[in-house]
Amino acid sequence: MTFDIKYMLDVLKEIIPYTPITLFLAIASMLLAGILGLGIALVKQFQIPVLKQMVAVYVSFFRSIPTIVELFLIYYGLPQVFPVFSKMEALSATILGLSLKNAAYLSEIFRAGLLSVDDGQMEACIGVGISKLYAYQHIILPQALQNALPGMSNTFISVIKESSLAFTLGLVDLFAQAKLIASDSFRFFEAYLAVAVIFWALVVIMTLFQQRLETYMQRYR
Amino acid sequence: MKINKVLGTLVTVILAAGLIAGCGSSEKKAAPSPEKVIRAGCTGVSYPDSFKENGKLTGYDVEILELAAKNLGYKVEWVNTDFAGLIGQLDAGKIDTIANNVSITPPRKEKYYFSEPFLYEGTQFVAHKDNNEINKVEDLFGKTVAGVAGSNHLKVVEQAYPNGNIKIRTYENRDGAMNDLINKRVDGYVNARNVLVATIKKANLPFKLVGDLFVIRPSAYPFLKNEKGKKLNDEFTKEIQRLRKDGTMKKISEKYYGTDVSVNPGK
Repeated sequence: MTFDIKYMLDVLKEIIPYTPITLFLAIASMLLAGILGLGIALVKQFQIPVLKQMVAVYVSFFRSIPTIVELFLIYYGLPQVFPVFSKMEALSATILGLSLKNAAYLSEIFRAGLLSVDDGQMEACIGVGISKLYAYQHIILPQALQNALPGMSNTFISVIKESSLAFTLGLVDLFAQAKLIASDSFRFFEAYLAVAVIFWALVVIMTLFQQRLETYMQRYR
Repeated sequence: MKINKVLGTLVTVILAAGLIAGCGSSEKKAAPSPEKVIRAGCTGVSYPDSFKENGKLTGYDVEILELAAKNLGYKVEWVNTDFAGLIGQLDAGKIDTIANNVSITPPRKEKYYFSEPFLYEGTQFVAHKDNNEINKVEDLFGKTVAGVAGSNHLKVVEQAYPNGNIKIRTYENRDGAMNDLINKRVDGYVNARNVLVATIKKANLPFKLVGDLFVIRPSAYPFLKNEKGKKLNDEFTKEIQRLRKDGTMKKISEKYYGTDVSVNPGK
């Protein structure tokens, strides 16, 4: 086994231009998943009938199936039932798949955040005449989100890495490009190490961002 | 109290699992192995080179290796993993060779010894049967064609049609590439002709061949560049030459591919 450091640097140079695709997939999926996940958490929090049962099935299904199976079903399975879906791009299919799945995970993280805010706060709000909606908007949700932030960051890191499953649908991200380069030379070890370096750098940057966000959210404490 | 009980159960389960695992490995070690062993890897999902039929591993590359090994007095121990995993296993010395249609390319030759080729393949385009606009390779110029990672079709196509401006969309595995042609999201699909013909027949796919085959490449078994690899490579190369001479390879090839892929069609 001869490790070729020069080859690794070459691969690094060749895959860095693919970082925006990975980031775009991750950020777009995380935003959509966040909105959907918050909705689900609120449905559970308020125990809305009918919707409550529907989201229970949703969360159970999307937390259970492997991501690669889900992407396959969306991209290759749907067009066979509904031909209109054959117009769907691999990019949108991946974002849709990752959003649907991670909304299920995030809903539980948001629910934990909501549960972490003491009931007494709502009672106090009602006691001083603040409306329920206003209390949620300005008092309960900000605290809930603050408590959910570490869990959300964990999910985001997973999404960054999961986005490389898009290669199954013919979308070349940085991991896929590394595989393509390595399949010619068979130097997978060097290529994978280059991938590891980039993902690590991405997560380090993201963690710095998370810390600043936490400090910002705690400004009133 | 309750937590203690749960913890107690957990510890018991873990200990029991450890005990069972321990027994398993000690039994394995105790078994006598008088035979020589060659450890080989394949994906097990690359029809018709390595695949599972009724739960048993089989295929053209698999059967030739098993036959050659048997004649040389080796027992084959198989490992199944994806393609990158196979290379990792080979480099780490966990397996001795790969039986999965490994084409010989110059950069790969720097890294491994390659046995006598047992398979020659040319690249081929296919298109959807319903697509009347595509009947020859020139019709694919400026269009998008699906390809699979690992066979580096982008380079092969560029090399053969430098002015064609054929866009290759690469997929992680064959399922993805084939499914996108079935769903007509791409205009064509490029892969080894023999693999295409065999797969279209087996899965009854709605594809038609477009144009002739181009860029012929030999496939062989790679071995690590060390003493053991050299010895295995010499032994298997001689045996593969013998199997070609006595016609066995042609017979096995016809069984899996429906045609003789063991000779170079370009010669």
